[in-house]
Amino acid sequence: MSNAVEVNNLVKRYKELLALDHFTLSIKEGEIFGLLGPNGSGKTTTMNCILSLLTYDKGDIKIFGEDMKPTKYNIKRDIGVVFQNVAVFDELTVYENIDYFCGLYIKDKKTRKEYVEDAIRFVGLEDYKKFHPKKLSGGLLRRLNIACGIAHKPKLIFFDEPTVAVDPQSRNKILEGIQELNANGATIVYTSHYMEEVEQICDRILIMDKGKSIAIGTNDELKQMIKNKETITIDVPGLTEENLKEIREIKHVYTVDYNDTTISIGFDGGRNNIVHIVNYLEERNIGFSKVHSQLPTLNDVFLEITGTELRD
Amino acid sequence: MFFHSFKYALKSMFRNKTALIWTIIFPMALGTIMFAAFGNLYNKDHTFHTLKVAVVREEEDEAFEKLLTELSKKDEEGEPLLEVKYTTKSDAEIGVGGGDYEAVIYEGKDIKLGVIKSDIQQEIVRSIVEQYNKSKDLIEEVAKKDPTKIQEVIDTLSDTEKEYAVEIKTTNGNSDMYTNYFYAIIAMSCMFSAYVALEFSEKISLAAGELGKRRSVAYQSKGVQAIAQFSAMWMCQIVIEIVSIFYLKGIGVNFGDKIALMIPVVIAGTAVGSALGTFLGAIPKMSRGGKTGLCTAISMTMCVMADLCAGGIKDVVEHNIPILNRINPAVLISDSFYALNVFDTYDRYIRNMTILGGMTVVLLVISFLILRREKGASI
Repeated sequence: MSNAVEVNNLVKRYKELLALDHFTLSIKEGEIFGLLGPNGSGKTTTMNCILSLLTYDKGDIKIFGEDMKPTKYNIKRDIGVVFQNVAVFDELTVYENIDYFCGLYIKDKKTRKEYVEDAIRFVGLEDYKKFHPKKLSGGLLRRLNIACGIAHKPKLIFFDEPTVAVDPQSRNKILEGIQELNANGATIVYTSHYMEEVEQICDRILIMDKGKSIAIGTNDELKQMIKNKETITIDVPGLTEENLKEIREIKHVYTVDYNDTTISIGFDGGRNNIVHIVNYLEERNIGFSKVHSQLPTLNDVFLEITGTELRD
Repeated sequence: MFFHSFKYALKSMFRNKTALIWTIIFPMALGTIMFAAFGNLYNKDHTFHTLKVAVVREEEDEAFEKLLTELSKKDEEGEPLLEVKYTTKSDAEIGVGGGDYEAVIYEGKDIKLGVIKSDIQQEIVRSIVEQYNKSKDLIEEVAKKDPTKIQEVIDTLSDTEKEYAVEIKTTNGNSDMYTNYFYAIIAMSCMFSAYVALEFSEKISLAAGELGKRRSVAYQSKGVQAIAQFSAMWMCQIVIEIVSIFYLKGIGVNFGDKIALMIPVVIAGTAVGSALGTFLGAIPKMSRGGKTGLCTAISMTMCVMADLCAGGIKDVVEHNIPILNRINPAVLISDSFYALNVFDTYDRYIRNMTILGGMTVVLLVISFLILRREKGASI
């Protein structure tokens, strides 16, 4: 499968700040590719450089095998962008906004009309065609924003944090829509700092921090990269230092945190870890409640690689 | 695809209520208020009459008296420009109060203008005095520096006087001072095109945020989008100005008999106004508030200098720093109307229109270069 996007050795500076530090990535045609990182990690800068909205100091960018430049209109024709903030004209209705942006790509009126109707159906705004943006709720506005970005049926679509400040219902609708676009053949580049969304929809994920790529792979591959394979949390008051020492000696336990009421135990592998821990507590008649087992998340991946929480 | 962008730019513009108020209602309302305020002054008879001038001789100036004698002679229509009476200061001042004189001139080392009633006819006396003083100063200065060139200077001044004489040959138009205010209102309205242009120019630049970004990544080039937008904006402004002119004419403003030739002026005027706004909107790294403030400062200064608020500023500038009047679009617009309705020749009208056209091209080229070259380095 050929690459939809290739970024090699990209360097972008804002005066003293190094926003992208020899950043490299490749996105295959047909995949949903997630760019995950905390705020300020360089996700949007990367996207803006790829779209030629930003100049960069070093490196090269190819889209569908061609060097991307601001005047490469043949490449631009196949790109759709859904920006983080709603970017529409307040003076135009829902239909007119979508038609306007679609018309920046599609000349033929009849084709455009079909595309606009498809986009309206896709985002579920059939009942709001004649509404002006100011009359729409936040969720509906986001949907309009998406429709304006995808109405021309692009092959490569960039979504820049499209679910920020969106209610759960609209968020699910947006994520389902993105998967549907991908099923229809579009390559998706999805930037977000919400790891659950990225885990849910992305085929491959690149985790970035401070302008650098720190890990790349599928959801499972990323989780295999780290030592933590399971974390068990139990409400158990009154554990002694002796108990904690013994728990640390249980097979696969590599970290233990205790705060007088709750113990958090990290495992680097193994099966039935929860049984081993529960058996240990029962054998010593130690009372406990609320046992919780959690498999590693992308946050654990980020935490283990960078030493900080992804949510910070 | 050009017409697609053009169509939606027009729609956006007509639905932008704030812009509409500024561009349509404001000049019409201001024109109506001004017309009502002038009341009878405006409607009075403006037929030229000989001006009665009292001259108080403090020190004899032979050349000036010769000039007054010339101007007191009957012209082709049998009517002299001035009726001069040499008198004392107290008689002159009492006489002007009682209506015996319309202006008082003090003849001395310098020629000074005393009491003058404010009307276009009396403005003639003012320009005679100013022109005389200017010529006299020039000759004196040349006499000090290089006396051999005096004759050359006198010849040049004579040529200027001839040109002046050709220019003041009036048409059947209306040259009263009140109409100048309405010319200034239309000039202001043309300059206010800048506000709409600024808003639309910003929406296409990366400074506008994601709307600008979305348009920058589109298949249709930003240049085509910008031209479509500018064309729509310009067309819209032209229509608005034409409507304003006919509205003002409808309420009774006398624009003379060359109203059709006023249309090219508003075409050029709105072009330069829109180009100014496009340029301001394209300035990178400046907030929207800053751009709007700058737009207000520039357009209002230009309009004030075009005599929108008070008459005479334009003349003072013309006599001291004439280049400012040549590069002030508001002055060029109002002066084009004036020239059209006062002079028989079209030299001044064409000169003004050419400058307006040139300024539009320069501003647009700079704006499009900025928009095209911007690469969002500050994003």
